This record gives sequence, C-alpha cells and structure tokens, in this order.
Amino acid sequence: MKKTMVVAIAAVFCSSAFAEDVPIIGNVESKCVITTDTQGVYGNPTPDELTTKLADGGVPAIVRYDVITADAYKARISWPDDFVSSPALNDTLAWEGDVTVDQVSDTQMSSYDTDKIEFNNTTEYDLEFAGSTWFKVGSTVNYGYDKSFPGGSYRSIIEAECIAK
Amino acid sequence: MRYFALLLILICGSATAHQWTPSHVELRPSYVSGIHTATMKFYNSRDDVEYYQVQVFDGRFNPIKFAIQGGSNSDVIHARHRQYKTVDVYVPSYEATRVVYICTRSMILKKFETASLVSSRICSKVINE
Repeated sequence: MKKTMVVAIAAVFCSSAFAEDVPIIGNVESKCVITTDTQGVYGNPTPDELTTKLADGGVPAIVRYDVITADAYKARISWPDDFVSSPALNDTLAWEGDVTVDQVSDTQMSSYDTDKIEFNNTTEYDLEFAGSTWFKVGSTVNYGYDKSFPGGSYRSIIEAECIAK
Repeated sequence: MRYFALLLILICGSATAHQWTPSHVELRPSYVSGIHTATMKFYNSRDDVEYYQVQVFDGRFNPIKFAIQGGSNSDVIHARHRQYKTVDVYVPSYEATRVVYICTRSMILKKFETASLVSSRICSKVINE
C-alpha cells in the first residue's frame, strides 16, 4: 500500500512538467558585399604593352558581388585608366578595358550582360536578382608609339561600387 | 644579351569588401537644432584596408557638407579587420532633402607593397519622407 502511494505521488509530480516557447528571431537585411575573387596579373607580350588577356600571359581580375535582396542595388565597375604607382613614364598611355559577367548563381542573371550600360571606363549593371555574380575585368595599356615600358613595379586600381537603388 | 625583367603587378587584392547597412536609411531630426542625422552600421571584412572615407552625395553625386561621429573634421573611419562600428552621419537640416546617397569608400595606403587594388564603394540610399 505504501509503495503504491509513493509511486502515485511521484507520478503526480512527474506529470506536472513546464514548457515554454523560446523564439528564434531573425532579420534579413538588404546588403551588398564586394569580394575580390581572382587577383589580376599583367602580362607583357610586347615591350610596349601590358595586358590581362590570358593569351598574352595575363590574368583578368574577377570581382564578386553578393546581393541579399533582389533589385535593391546596382553595380558599377570601372577598369583602370591610370597607374597609381609606376616608374617614371614620359609618354602617353593608351588604356583599354572591359567588364563582363563571368559566372552567376542564378540563371536569370544571364541577362545582365545584354542590359548593361557602359560610359567612359565604367560599366553599370542592374542587380535585379538576389545571389552572387562574378564580373571579369580586363585591362590593357600601351605605352607611346612602340615604346618599351621601363623596368619596375606597375600598379593600377579597379573601382567596384555597389549603389542602392 | 641583357634582359630587363618587368615585375608583374597584381591588379587586385585578395580580401573581401566592407559592409555598409542599412541599404535604405531615413534622415531624422537630431537633438541639435538645425541638424539631421542617420545611423549607419559599418563592418570591415577586409584584412588589407583599415581606413574608409564616408561620403554624402545628392542625386547627381555632387558632394554635400556633413560630419560624422563627434563632429570631427575628418570624414575617415578607422576599423580593423572584422570590426563593427556604428557611424552617425550629421547633415544640416537645410540640406537634408538634397541628400540621396551616403557612401563609404575604401582608402588604400600607398606604402603597402602588396596592397589590394580593388577600391570598393558601397552607397546606401536616403528615403525622403
């Protein structure tokens, strides 16, 4: 009898369990992140030319844009039009460049290249879809008229902008 | 035959860019009369850049007078790698309706031999009432 009562009392206490709702709160914030995916390298196919073209020993730079919210940003990428540091140069430099879509995380982004806007050395893309887009940036520079680049260190800058719409 | 070796230079660095949120922000009256303010959040995910310049523009990217933090003359933020910062941007109230973009731009130090050569700029848009 005592054993039965002890078991019954224990069962009463065990059955009175407490439960509580513990929420997990999250907030998705629209943001844009720019990442340098591949370092660019200038090749020197001829003494008067530095270029990132693969066929000429160069490597084009690749910049990745990650956008969390669709249609919230536009990307503006400018290829170099001057050296930020170089040996002394006493002749003109002829700059060329291009920006193209290299890879996309969403197949709908394949329209970016056809809808892009180009002005001066800048290319503007409307980032209509959320996800990641890889942009390839090429750069070529010629020195004077068949003039050889002097030996030394050459450095140029790519400007990558992400502007909220 | 003498050969001159040209050093091939890296165009781009190897680091991620910074984050500047929210993407759309509202200017509100400050506790100081004649001043409007907005609070922005900054995160530096680049390990090669520690200085960023804050810029305020109108719709045509014309600069607008502003101040940050404690009214310092400097418009530069210093943030180490993986550091968060809250930045208060102050603009005169008479300019508040002109403000369209509040941006941050990375500033690359000249002395770095292997400096990242991607200058990143992220702009948030101001929502006018």
